[in-house]
Amino acid sequence: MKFWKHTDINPAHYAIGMWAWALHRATGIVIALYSLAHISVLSTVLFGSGAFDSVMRFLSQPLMLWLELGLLAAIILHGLNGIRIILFDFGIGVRHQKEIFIFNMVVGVFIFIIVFFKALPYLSR
Amino acid sequence: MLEWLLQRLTGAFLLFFLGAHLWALHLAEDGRDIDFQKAAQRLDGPFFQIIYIVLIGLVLYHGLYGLRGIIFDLVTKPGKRIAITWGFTLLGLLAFLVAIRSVMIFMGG
Repeated sequence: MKFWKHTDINPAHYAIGMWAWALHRATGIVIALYSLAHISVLSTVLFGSGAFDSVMRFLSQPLMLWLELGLLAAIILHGLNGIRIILFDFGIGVRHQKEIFIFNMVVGVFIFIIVFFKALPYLSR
Repeated sequence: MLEWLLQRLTGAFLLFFLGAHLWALHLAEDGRDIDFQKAAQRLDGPFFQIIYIVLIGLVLYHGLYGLRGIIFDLVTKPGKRIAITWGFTLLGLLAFLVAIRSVMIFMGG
């Protein structure tokens, strides 16, 4: 236990900024991999509109919509924290990095709830 | 240095372009039952054609550059890094070509 007390991985050193970074990286990976898969899936149109439509019908199932909501949450968080990063690049708000992150999370929840209620009728079809 | 800056620029522009994409698909009209017809209708005019082509470029640059950065946290050898960069560049070009070819089908050929 003692040998790693000085390291970053010691939970006593965990900080909000670290979680912001970790969240940004995790959501980034998810969105990047999804984007590649998205291009692949949509390129089924190269095999005709019939193939495309059947793929679209499969992706319209409620389970897929739930997954898409998860993706949306990732996009919202990644985007808002991206704005946070750009602000810091300009030196704006660096002293209040924790408050800005909390603000991002709150705004993110708001946006997500709005879209969630828009999606609700389709989720339980 | 330019690549670092482009990551920020593509990110900022993506906020707009991605927002437009998600809005058009899910909030503007009947948000579900996406099919070939609806997509073709949307891509009938230059507005969405431009938005989609730019969006594809932005996403591929931003996403692949980000993934490359993560891998670079683990790989430090210059030779490997060069190979990885080439890999991502080729992957990006290939994905862009496939995506644009697909968009052209919706545009009518």
